[in-house]
Amino acid sequence: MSLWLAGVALPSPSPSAQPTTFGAGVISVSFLLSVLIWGPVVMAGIIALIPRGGRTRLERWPLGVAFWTMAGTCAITLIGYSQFQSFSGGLQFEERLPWLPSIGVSYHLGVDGISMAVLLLNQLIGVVAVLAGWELRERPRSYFALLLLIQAAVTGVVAAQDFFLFFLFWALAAVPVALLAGGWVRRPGASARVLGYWAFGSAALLVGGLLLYRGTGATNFDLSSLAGIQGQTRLQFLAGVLFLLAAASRLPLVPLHGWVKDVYRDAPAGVAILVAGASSRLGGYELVRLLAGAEHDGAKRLAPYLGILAALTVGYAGLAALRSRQVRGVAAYLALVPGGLTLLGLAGLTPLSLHGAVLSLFAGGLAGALIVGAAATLTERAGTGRVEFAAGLAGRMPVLAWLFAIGALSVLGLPFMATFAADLMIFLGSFGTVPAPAFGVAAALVLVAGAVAWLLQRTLFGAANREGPEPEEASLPEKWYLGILVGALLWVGLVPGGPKLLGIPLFDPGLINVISPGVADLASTYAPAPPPTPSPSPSASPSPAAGQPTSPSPSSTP
Amino acid sequence: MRVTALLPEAVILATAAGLPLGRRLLPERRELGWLAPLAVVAALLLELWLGAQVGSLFSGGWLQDRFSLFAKAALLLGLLVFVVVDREPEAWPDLEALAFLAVFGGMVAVSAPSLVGLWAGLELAALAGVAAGGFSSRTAASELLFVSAGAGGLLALGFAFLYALTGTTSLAGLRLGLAHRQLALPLALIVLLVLSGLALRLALAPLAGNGGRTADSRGQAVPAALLSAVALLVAAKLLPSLAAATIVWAPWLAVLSAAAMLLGGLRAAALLRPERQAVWLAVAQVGWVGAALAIPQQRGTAAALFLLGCLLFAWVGAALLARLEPSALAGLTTRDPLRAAGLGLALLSLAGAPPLGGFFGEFAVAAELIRSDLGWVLAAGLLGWMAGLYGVIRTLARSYLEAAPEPPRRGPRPAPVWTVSALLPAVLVLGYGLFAFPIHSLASQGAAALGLR
Repeated sequence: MSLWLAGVALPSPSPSAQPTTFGAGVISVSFLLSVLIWGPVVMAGIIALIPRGGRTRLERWPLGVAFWTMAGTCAITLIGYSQFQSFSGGLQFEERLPWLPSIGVSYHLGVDGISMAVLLLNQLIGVVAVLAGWELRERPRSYFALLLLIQAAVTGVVAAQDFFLFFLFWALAAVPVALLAGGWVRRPGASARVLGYWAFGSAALLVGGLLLYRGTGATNFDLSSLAGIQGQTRLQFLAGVLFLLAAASRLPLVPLHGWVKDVYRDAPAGVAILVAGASSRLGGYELVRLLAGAEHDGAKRLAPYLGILAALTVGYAGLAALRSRQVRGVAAYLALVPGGLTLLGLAGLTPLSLHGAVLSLFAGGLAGALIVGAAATLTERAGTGRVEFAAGLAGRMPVLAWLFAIGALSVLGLPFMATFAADLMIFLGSFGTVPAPAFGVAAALVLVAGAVAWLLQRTLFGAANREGPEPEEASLPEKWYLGILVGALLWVGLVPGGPKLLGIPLFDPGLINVISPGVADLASTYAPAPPPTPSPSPSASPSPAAGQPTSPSPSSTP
Repeated sequence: MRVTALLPEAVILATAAGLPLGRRLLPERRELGWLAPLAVVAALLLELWLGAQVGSLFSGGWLQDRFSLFAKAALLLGLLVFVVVDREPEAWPDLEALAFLAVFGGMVAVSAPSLVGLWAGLELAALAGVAAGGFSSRTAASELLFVSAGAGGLLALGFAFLYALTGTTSLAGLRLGLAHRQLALPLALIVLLVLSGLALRLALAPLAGNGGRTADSRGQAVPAALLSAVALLVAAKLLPSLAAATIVWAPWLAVLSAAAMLLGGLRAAALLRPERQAVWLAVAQVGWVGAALAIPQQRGTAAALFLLGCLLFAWVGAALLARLEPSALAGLTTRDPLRAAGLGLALLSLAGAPPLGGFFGEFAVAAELIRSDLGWVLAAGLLGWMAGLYGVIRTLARSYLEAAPEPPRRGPRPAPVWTVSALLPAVLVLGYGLFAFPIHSLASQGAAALGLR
């Protein structure tokens, strides 16, 4: 409470966001990020206090509270996004209060362009996850309260600028996800597996962060202080490996993907969507912040391994999807693909590949949520999860079939979708620096494409299976939530720089414009050192080195 | 400094003596139930007010510094949780008195400037613990008596040797006396003797074999928590005086602590009974405190004190609220939602889950372990942390997500005040994290008062 009051009372030390687009100036409070984190926590508490209604109208209250909370935080985030000072590096909406100054811990929140993209994704996914649980009747109080806690924890990780806070929210997310797995997944041991992998990742993250703290000799846990490590290549490598383990447990990457079936395949649609779309993206975000952003030597040394891991993950996802005989099982493996592509972008360590990696955090989250959500809905509406029984659905549930097909294709990077732009930048940016892994990922994508084609052909097209249960078309909330995901993927894919009228940005400053300054800062540390100035010679050619794309200006990116 | 600074101790001692007397003389007066919480609150407020003065009494025979202020406040908060959350004060009326006596012993020990005071305070707390053990079963009491006598004997012997070696019982004199001596085998053995006695008192794993049994009875769980806290405080106070032999005790304590962190977590993950789970989670967290004490620096001891404060009331709260059969966990949120909330948060704090007090304390300890090149201790702790967290999540899943096999029977309902009181541990573990700044500052001042740098 003291922190809260102090946050209200103290002015923001950050430069206030200047109005640039429609909606600017509506919110000018300094505790916007705190509202986004603690608002859902408070509302989760309120949901827990709602009396049990049985089959009365009270039964729908948890859903209502959760929906309006998610919608409210999403609206606030959209306004914050529209106010975001594009083309300006550094943190915005910053809050900083001492918390445990004797050990250097502060309540330091803030977002740059990269965080803003993930924050926006998280809020969109939050609304979608609640809509996906519209018809849930089993213990709605606990379910929606836990969803809100996950949402708060993800927002906390994204906004944290202090390692302590980062770790706190990172570890906090594991508890509600494990409880949801324990309460709503019928598979034995689901909760233990989720918690085991996620807690292992949390432990690796803690040790990695503490190693950086020790290596830098910092007196505080501010991420900017931990990013100041110079030399000590061995320590950087060790910390980098630990960060990679933490990320691998969340994204997830092979071989730390053992919880995927429990959550993506067997959990209720809302849980699968929230984890595939937002919580798991934190793995990639952590690598951007703590590996690429803080340990430059470590990242360079680990880059080939990241690439190999990316190829392994995408290849494994393709093979496993081909082997799976359940619609949700195939979707669960397809949802691993965006994580592998993000990793390849980070392995590239060029401005273009890093742009692609950050964009793929956003686009991959949407695509992952779409495919697992669409598969869950399709399975439920078709009345069967087996691929062989769910044949010829396209004619009998056309809207859902289209949404499902778009979801499956968006994972592959369908043109005009946000994933296409992200994947293109990743491949173009990484082929020069990590050619073998990039080729491996591209080859693995062929397997994934085969799995997608097989899945669509078996489930949507062909002769309808008249022996199976009669399928139903998706309900209105289901169409809405899947439609929001498709719409967001299309919107960013079609107008990544935001819509403009006579050159003036309208309500959306453009996601690519928002992330560009942050990525440019990140990429600048990996730019090759300028060659010694040669003596002027008439024969000198100014052409750039092959395989080293220059930092793209926001207007030049796709 | 005035004698009035002893008022908190006087209140606690008077209540310890008055409670059983009052219950025997006036058995019908139910208002006596309010006496214990009121006395603890009064003692706590007096301690925070009068104890803020730094000084000594009786020609240096009684010290009041920031360490004793922090330690007494922590002990009194633990006692407050006991007297407020306990729903069956009439079952064993003398148990409350014994808990008061244990806390009084702790207050004596943390203000003692000499080995004699430390020993007397610790033994008083231990006696109360053994007597409380007798409430549950004669066998348990005799086992406890045996272990306690062994621990007391080892400590007394070690203290006597230290006196013989340095010619003083004063902690300051001991530090000076040992600083001028070469570290030889006899001194190393003496130090190990003292610490073995303390480890027995702490019930550090693998010496915590009776962890399961102590959980079986409220008569043992709460005094065991208080006694462990007193023993940790005595260790925190004594170890700086043995700075000359750091090379002997620090690795020894680190190994024991790592074992406690690991075994405590693993055992907690394997057990289904929430009471036993609470005990083993506490054993693991005692290990975290011990690991921080193994760092002979002010920052390490500050982290240890910071974690200890939260450990104590989470342990006491969990021990009282977890008195349930595993089958009774299902549907607990329906039958007794506040108890489910209090138990859940107390267990999560003991497991070091964010954002509760235990998490803050363990993070502070982890940071110091890495700074002091004790990464292997941290690795053991994190393994135990993962295991313990799994055990608690399993318990929570049962109490929050499983429906009761049959509709709850309408038994006698506790008074509303006792129902609400179950939330006290939850409020404390949440508030501990929120107000970590002033609490950790006081812990740092306490560590500095011990002469650590």
